[in-house]
Amino acid sequence: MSDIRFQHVTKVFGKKVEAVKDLSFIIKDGEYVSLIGPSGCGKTTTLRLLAGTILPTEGQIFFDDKPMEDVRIQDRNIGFVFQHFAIFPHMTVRENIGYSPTVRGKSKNEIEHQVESALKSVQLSDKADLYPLSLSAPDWQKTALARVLASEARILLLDEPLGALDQKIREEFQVFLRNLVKKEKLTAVHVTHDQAEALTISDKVAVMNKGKLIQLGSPSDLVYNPNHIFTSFFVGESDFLIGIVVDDKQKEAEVKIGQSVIRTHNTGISKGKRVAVAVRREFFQIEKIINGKQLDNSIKGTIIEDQFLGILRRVRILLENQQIIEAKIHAKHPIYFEEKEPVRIRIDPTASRCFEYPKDGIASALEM
Amino acid sequence: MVLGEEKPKFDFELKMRTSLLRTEKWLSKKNVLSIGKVLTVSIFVLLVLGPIFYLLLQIILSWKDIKATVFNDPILGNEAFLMMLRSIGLSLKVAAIVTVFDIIIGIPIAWILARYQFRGKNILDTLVDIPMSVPTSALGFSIYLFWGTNNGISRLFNSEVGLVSQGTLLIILAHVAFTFPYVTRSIRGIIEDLDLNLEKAARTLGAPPFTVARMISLPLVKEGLLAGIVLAFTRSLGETGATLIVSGVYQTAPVVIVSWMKGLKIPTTAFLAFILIIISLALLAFVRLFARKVGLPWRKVFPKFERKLSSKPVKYTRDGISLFLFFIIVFIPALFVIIFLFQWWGGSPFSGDPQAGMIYQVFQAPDQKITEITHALITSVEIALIVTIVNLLIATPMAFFISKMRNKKLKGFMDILIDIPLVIPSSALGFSIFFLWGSNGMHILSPGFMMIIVAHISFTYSYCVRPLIGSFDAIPTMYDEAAVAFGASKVTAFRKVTLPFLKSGILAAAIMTFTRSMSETGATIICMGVERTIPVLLVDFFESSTFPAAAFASTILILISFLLLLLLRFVTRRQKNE
Repeated sequence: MSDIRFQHVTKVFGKKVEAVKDLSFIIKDGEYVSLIGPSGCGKTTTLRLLAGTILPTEGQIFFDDKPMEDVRIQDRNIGFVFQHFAIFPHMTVRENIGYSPTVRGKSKNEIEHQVESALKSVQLSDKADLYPLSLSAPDWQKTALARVLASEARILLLDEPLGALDQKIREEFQVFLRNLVKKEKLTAVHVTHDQAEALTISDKVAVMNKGKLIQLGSPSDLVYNPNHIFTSFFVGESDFLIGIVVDDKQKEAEVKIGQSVIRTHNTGISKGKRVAVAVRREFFQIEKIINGKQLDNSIKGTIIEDQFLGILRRVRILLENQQIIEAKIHAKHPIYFEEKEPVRIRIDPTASRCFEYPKDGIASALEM
Repeated sequence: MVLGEEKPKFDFELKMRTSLLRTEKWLSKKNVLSIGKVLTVSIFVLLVLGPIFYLLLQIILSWKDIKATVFNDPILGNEAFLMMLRSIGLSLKVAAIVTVFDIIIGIPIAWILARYQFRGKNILDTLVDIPMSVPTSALGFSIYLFWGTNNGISRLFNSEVGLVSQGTLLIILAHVAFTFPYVTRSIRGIIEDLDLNLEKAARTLGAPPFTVARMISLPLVKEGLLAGIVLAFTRSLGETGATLIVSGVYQTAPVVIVSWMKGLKIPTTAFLAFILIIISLALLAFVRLFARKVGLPWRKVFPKFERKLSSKPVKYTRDGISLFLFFIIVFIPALFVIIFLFQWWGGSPFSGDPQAGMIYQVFQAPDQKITEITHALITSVEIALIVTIVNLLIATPMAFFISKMRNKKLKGFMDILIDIPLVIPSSALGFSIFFLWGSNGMHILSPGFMMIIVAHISFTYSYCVRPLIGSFDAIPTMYDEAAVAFGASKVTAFRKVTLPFLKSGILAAAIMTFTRSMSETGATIICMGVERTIPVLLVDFFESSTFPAAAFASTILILISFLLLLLLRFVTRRQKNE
């Protein structure tokens, strides 16, 4: 059992800098959770609070209902994997891996046993007696992981663990890392700036901004059910259509944008309110206007440009309410759009969401 | 008309500039440059290494004579050799104990300076350096006054005599004061640069802070630490100025060299200097060649014990003890002479006799000590200035040459050679200079002003080259490559691009050299003839028991070195900011 619970945790650096504000959440035993957010959002601070290298200014952190206030770093039983691995350069791979059982005063047999099984788990047995300087980055990564495994930590904290690897190896490691964590039944908290990595690797993803937790949910929840305008802004790419709610039902709202009215998923906003409808750029459907035929749930627009991006194409469109949006469509999409061509943009009601229009303008809510 | 007047001046400047550029172009020619290189290295070999190797060679060549005087003297038998053994034994014993104390005080203080943030950190930082820059004779005198007379610590116990009499213990106390900064300095920077994540990683893996420091941080600063330890050890082994004052009848090897030299027992002195040089060279070679391979028996862990050592109260006690030792062994004794000076300002604090006071002794007594002091001070400054200028001229090309060397093995070798004057006892070095240049060798110089200068150039050489190599290494090569690509000759590129970068590096090297030259005792005594520099004069005053006058001279020396130290810190800090 290794539940993690944050209870109203605040961390202030110096006198004024609030790195983390009133953070409360639970990570269940065996869950793989990623923390994402813009730099300075407090994700690394959260990780350091977990590790105990810094202590909360207010609030409490619990591991399995045990408060961690007075538990020093070395006694928290956590495994920390650093971005640049922090492999001890003056020890061999084997000595690195055996460090934790050694300093915890295990017997020689136990140390050897733990080291061997950790080496096996990361497939590094053949390089056990080399010094880190003669190894490559992926092997450092494996050493760092094995070192944590041998420490018998139940909670794994990963700070940008794949950040120092090449793109290709990164993708291999995402799978490797997840499988390893699942096999060893660890609880993992993973900080990354790469949201694709977070979505691929985790059971749950926490989106943070300005020291606050915005949303904690499964990867698909974040994509399809963002509960905050910042989540839809930060995870993937979205455009925000500004309009006014003309009819509100429990799960669906009708929003007037320009002259058109579209249906969208509602988050409990009532009639007459000004809203921003978040639509992911790849969910826009662009259709040519043929014979003035009215397309269901769509807005009128004019093409600005249609640009080839490799796998995708980016189509910039000026909407009837004078907003400019960018739609991402497949490069092989059969239709090419001409400049100034009038089109209709269809919006899938289940893949869009309306949020209350922020008081100080949309930029204030998205400010990082 | 104004234009017409300015034109000739402009032409003259242009002419100067083109001829300068042309000279530089000529100097940049490949064979001219190689001649320059050869010249640089030969000056180094002749001035710095030459005397040492000449001495080594002579000992081997005239082994029969040595054997006759050292081992089979008609009157004394092998008494000279036995005395050598005793003095070397004492020196080694003292150096070993001193080094242990240096480690005990030096490492925690380096740690405190590198890792803690506190008010007054800069002050502590400067205080740590003071004993290194104050002339050791002044330092030794001050320490003697504090521990060994009834003016210092014994006042606390209302004792009539000093707490520690002259001898081994006092030598150790004095040596710790000026050698521990070598340990602190050698690792402080490395500790600051360590990757903190390594320590954090070790903590998360279950190691308490003490274990982390022992198993992770210290092994990573091992090389620097060993270098510092060797410097501290060799400094203690070779120190003369302070030791002359605090040793009493217990003679360390450098003191024996000085006293034999005064009695003109050249062959026996040569042999003792030879042994000291061999010991120092062996230590240097050992550290430079094997430091990396020395495994430290630090793999075993005592979890419970180390956990206790890591607890906060123990940690505070440890830091407290280190700081306490620093203040009681180093700081207060080192500066006690200033208090003593005020105690004895106008008369004896015990009897009130004005003739025992500083004012009378220095300014009013018939022997006019103030003239002696002024004269010695002027001599010291003159020597230090000349030495600094000459050393900058010969060290800058050398530093440039070493820094740009591509052959790593050769570079490493040159690096070791550069360090030689650093580890050899200065009295032995001074003797080897006397031996080569004086009447026993080439007979070009006799002891006196010039010979002091040559001796000082040779032992301050390393102090000058080291920081310069550092500065050269820190300059990105792209700048002068760019200058050459734009058509500047190599020498022009050096003058216009590299030198401006070096300004504060050169200044730092100059101050270091000046300070070292000002404070040297051992080499000076050997080479001085009838000249007196101020550290030597201090020893004379001490030996004639005119303590207040000696205190006056010491205080002047301490103030001068303190000012130089502040200047150095100012310069190096600016260098860092650049």
